[in-house]
Amino acid sequence: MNPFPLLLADLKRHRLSLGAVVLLIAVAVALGVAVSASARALRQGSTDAADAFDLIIGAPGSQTQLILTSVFLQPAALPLIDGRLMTELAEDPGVATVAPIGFGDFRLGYPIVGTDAAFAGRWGKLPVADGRMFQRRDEVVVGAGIAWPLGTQFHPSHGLHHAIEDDDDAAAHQHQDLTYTVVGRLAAQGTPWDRAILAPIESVWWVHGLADGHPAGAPDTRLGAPWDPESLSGVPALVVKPRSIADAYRLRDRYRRNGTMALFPAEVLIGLYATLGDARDLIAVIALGTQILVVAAVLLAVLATLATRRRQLAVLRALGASRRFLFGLIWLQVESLVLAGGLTGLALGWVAATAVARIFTARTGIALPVEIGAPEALLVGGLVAAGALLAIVPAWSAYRTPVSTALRG
Amino acid sequence: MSFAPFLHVEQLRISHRLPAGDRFIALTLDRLDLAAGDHLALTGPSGSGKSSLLAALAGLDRPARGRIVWGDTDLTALSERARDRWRRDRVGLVFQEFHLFDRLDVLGNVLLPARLGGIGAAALKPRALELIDRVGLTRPRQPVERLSRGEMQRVAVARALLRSPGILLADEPTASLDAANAAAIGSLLIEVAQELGSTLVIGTHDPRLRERLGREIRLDAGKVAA
Repeated sequence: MNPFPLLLADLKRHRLSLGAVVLLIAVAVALGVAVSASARALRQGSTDAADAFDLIIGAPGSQTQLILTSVFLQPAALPLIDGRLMTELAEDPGVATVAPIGFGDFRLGYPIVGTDAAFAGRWGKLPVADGRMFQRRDEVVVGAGIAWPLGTQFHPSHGLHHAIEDDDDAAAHQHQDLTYTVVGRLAAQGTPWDRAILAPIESVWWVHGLADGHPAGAPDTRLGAPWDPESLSGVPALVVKPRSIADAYRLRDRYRRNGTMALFPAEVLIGLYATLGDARDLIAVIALGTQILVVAAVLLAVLATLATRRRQLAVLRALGASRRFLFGLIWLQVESLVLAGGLTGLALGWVAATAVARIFTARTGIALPVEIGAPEALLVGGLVAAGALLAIVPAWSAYRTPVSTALRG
Repeated sequence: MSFAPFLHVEQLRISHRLPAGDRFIALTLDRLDLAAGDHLALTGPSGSGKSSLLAALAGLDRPARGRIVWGDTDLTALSERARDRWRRDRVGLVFQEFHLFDRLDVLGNVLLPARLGGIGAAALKPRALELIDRVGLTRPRQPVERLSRGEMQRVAVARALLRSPGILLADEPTASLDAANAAAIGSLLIEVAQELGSTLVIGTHDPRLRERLGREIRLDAGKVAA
């Protein structure tokens, strides 16, 4: 038995309406797939972005804000902590390394982030793709997402919306005269830091007229540790790499009091994901409901057309088709629509999630690894299985078509 | 009877269920015998029971009473599945309205019975092409929806002949054709039945077709008219 030529002939005959049905199913499926894949990609992308940040210490306040500002570089004025904590932490045997993060300046919308050369290179994990790391306080490296040529020079401006080559007013914001030179570009890491200008923390302090962590008269090439405790200014955040998990918990406990706040970004993110997950679940339920409605509509449409096809089915019986053949023919027809809609929807959903991810990455710098995984496969598989069950209804109706009356009728 | 009849019908009563649930008797027939290769015309006004008898002879309907025996097969004793298979292998059916399948070409329509099981389409393709030629068509790949009505019925005849059936049943095969085509299709059915040695039963209004068939049973209001 081979019902496929008949199946194809029917598909061809009704290709417009059946195409619309497939599209309808596909859009409903795509909605569910896109939500599911995007939510997971967002989670994965933000977790990856926080990867290098084992432990963050900042001034007491909103944990979420500290993460958003230090890990995701969302601009906000954070209260400062005493810079001398850096030397204290550096001497702690449980600390592998510690780096400052300082903010406040922008150039053409890109934040200038002050840190040390070691953390700018993510403690050895992130190579300089082009040029070299900064070695003087008037040198910067840029993230992979900033296309400026090496050698570009600029003055830092304070705040997002100040043009630098402005008149005296703007000049008043430039507390100290400093001209940065871009000397290197980092490899891409898929985080907001790809869109940041990384400068020595000393220069950020100095621009603001603060002590720069080194004794007066130190040369411009003297950057990073060892610091002069008496010359350290305040910083909004410190990134700490503990030597062991036990050290991590000990350090977090110790710096959770006495005017500081310590947190594991991964832990805070999990809390955020729970909120995100609720929203995703809600949308997923809506998407599932849409799919059920669409499949029900398809079923009704098939049952309606079946009434007009009773004679065709009767002719097949007259030519010798068994009841089973008609059952299989109609079942295959409905299921092939659902299957085609499901697979098209999977593809559409992936395309949509990828497009959303691209826009999101363009806005935030966070790379979203959109993948079609088990949850999406399960979604489509569930739909196809439900279609297989529901297709029994019209198939059974075809099975019961009375032949001779339908031939005459 | 001096011969063992190929078709033997006795004490037949066919009834149909009305939508309201009542049954009415569409046909009663005390006895009918045909030899292999016989040609029979079933005539009578609409609603006289021609189609009901043809459907029962094709094994599409199980009669309320009586026996229909084709050769050594007692149709009334077979299950619906067995009748489907028997019909597929032994019976060629031609309808008034052709009942071809759009979007399949001529060859696809002629090969359609082979899709329903039994001998595969690949094995029957040479036979199908031969039949298409035999019924006077030249383009096996032409879509059937572009054919004239006369050509469509030729395709239907070729489809009915695919498995070289010993039984050819036709219900008003010429009624929706113009006179020239009606004559041609009538001749074609008689010729191919003779070539195959098939038993041919045609329900028809067409007096010219009736005259060309050897025997006639005239039905009226579900009974054989005198």
